[in-house]
Amino acid sequence: MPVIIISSDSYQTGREIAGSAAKALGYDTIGREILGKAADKYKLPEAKLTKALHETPSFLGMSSKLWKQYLAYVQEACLSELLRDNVVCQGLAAHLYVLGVPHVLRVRILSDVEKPVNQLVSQRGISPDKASKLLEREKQASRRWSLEAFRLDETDPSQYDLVIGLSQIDPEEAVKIIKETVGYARFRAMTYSIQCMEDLALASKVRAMLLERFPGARVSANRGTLVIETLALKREKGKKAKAIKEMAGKIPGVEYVEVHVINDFLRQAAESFR
Amino acid sequence: MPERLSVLLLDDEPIVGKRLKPALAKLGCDVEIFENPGQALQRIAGKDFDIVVTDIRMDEIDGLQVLEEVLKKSPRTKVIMITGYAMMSVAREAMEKGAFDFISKPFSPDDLRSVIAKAAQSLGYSMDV
Amino acid sequence: MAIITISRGSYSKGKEVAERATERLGYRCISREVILEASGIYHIPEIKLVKAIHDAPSVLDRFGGGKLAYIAYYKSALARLVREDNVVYHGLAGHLLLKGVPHVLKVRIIADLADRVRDEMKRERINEQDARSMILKDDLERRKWTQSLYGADPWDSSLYDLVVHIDRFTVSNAVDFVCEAAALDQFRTTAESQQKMDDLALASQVKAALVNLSPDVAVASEYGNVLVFVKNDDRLARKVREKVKTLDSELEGVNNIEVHPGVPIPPGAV
Repeated sequence: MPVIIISSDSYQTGREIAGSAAKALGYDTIGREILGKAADKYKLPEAKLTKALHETPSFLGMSSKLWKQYLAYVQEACLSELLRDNVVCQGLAAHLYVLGVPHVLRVRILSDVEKPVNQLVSQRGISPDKASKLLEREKQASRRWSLEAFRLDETDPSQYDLVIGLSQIDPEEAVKIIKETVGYARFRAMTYSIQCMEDLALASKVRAMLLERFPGARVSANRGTLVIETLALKREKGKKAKAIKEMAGKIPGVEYVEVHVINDFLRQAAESFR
Repeated sequence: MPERLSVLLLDDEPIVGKRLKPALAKLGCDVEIFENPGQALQRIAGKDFDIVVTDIRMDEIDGLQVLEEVLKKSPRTKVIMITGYAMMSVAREAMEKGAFDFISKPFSPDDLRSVIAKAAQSLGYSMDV
Repeated sequence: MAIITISRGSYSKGKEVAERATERLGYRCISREVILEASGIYHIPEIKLVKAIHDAPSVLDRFGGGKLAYIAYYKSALARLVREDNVVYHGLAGHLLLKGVPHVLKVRIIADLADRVRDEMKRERINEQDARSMILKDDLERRKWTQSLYGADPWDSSLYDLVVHIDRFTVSNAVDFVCEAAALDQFRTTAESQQKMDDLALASQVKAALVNLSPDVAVASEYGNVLVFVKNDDRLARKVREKVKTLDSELEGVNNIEVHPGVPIPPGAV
């Protein structure tokens, strides 16, 4: 049955709505609590995974390579949970990578415009104008994050099935809208949509495994057949393709691996200057 | 309830019916194969099938129209959509219009058998896949 | 009950949603009627009004003020027509033109470009390239219009209560969403919210009456007490005061009108 993915301009708002929707529907929730398991699996602090979900790489902070790896681990953890039916997912940026799956209802919730301003004013003792500007900066940072991480603008309403603003509509009513919407037959799971989710989950599993050694690897799956793209110098092509096939082939569910090696022009150019 | 499940399979590619008929017959189904949607609809007008498996992209009449016609006449019938051009919008539309399931090609005969078995179970037949 | 505004990209089934919601709710539906009303009251040819509200204002327009005047007329006509609620408006920028009125349900209908192009090709019997460039041009004009006049991006979903991606649902589903939201208490007309609507309508009418004297005039109204804000220019202020004397008797609902030259314009003023 359906999967609901909640995105919001405020983590807290998204979490509340996700929790209420799950309760109203008798569904499970999937949120940042799964990061602990993922952190254990990949032997790193959970805080790093959480950080990757709202910060972009920087010169003094996280490197781009590590950031992409951490996001891949989050994706893998999330997608394996989403193979279950009847779940509400929030806080894992799933709206940016669970794409094209018919039984997934994607909803964006926009906080009441005044509430966070008032909260900031009382918490920090700043003027409403300053608070608004701060929130706008955060909104833009979040947008930049989504563009850099997944090349999608999470503020673009066309990414979602439905956008609900809470300035006038109460959270309870928003939950009611979600509950009714998810009852439409179009959000029922079907063989094709389950396959779509399984393909995404398998691809994410393989990518998470490959990224440490092959940063920039792109993986897509279709019923156990993987297509993996990676960059390499001409002289490394054969070796890399073989290594990738061996690694990917070990993952349960993988039946066939096709590797496309793209010439790494930049490295080639860099090497030719040495 | 009749003992054998009646199944109509409609696909304008002859190879599809050829491949799938034996697998479905082994399941204990009475299978009728059609390549022409007009003829299939004529047959459906004369008989209520338990299950209709239909391709979506066909000339003149598409699978979604077939779905609508079948359910108008026999709401009990389980309609399974198959297509080589699966897209989220089409899949959702088919489900909204009452399709039982939606499968993308290519699929193996066994894949279809397990979907047929599910449809049969929902109709009250017990079926071993 | 509610005033419902439905904003839409061109050819995104927004009109169909509006008309079916109207039918289901037993409301009035208005769109083109606003042009006709404005044209009739202010004696402007329809075609000029259509162009003014369709094409984004250029720099020259801002200096010349002609287009801004037409938009003031449009807004005044819109406010008049929706003042008695139970109405669905589909057209330009309802969510911005009726800002500040609590019982306005603001809905946006969006559709994928590919589907809009397909529908447009069928409707106008044109090829894909022409349909696509028509739609993109229209989108761009609407965006520029809203941005230049209101500093708001119409694609910013925080301007709306509901955004429905029509390709992911049927028109019926979208109508369900609209009708159910319209039934919520928040969109029920109260004495207070009706007063806000009446004040907006009054302020818009006064502005429309004064905009020829100065395109920068701003008007606010609270319980029929109308405040007119103009530049700090004695000659202008005098002209506006003279005009305002006649408005007192011409317009219904005016309790008092004052002119304030050189005073900063408060937020929410028309």
